[in-house]
Amino acid sequence: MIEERVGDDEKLFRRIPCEMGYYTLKDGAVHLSSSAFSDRLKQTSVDRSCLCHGDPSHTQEDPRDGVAILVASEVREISAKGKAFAGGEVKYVIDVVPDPDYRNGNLAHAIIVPTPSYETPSVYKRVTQALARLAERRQWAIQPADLR
Amino acid sequence: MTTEVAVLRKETFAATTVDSISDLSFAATVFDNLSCLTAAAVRALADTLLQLKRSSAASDSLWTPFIETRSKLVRTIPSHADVEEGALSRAAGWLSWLQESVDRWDEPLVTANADREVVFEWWHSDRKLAVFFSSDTSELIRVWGTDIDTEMEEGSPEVRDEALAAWAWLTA
Repeated sequence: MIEERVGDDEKLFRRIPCEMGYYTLKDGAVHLSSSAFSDRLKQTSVDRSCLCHGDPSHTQEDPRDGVAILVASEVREISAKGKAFAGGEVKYVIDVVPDPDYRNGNLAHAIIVPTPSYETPSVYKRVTQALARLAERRQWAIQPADLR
Repeated sequence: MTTEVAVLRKETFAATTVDSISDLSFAATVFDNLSCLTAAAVRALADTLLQLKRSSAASDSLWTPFIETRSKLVRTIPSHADVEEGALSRAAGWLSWLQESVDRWDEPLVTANADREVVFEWWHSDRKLAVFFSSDTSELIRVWGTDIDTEMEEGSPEVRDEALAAWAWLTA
């Protein structure tokens, strides 16, 4: 049975593909690119730790991949305003919702989505900045191969 | 001068006589001795030639750094990343301009995002500068926290004063 709501304290795993150059080491700190959190549909994919036995390797597609950690409550604290097409401002609420992938057997899959949908791409760009920064504040669940 | 730039110089002059310079087979012939280049890179270089043809008034001193920057970007972005060809030209032009315009230069992290944009990112202390180029738009975001409304600020990198102000902010 999949919980209908992602709990605030749930850890979320995000795959950082090893071959895409999505991170850099500077002054002893690893910095994550916002590109690592971007998605064509503007719904960043994650896996719920509690539904994959807390095993971040569940999220890897390649053993060299890194896996970054987000926490649901911190993602939900992202609030964003953007320009509305009709003028004025839109206030977006960012949430993490279950999105089990039955075709590929990934019941832990969830997506980070806004309400309402983004009216302009620039808001999502800022959301990915926030996601990258939140992930940087936490340890890797699995470091990418070239940082191990 | 790198071999690649030398080849580009020679072939660019020849290319000006070709009507359909965006013909990929022609571009491939031009660059077939550059085995390190992927098909995407060949397309990107074809686009470079097209741009050079359009701005024939540009002097060597202007376009050589552009070509060098662009070639570097082509190699930096993973070959399987899906990037708009036009984005690469705009991004390279902007990056070579910025590098020549500031005193203290720092190489960016270069990636491609899901929207096929070229993304440059720099970090300095708690500050970050992110710049995005698609084939027809560009955007700059200053980031100093996770609050989207109060700790991020957008701008236009192609407004030179805005870009230089953002760089000064980043490196202050």
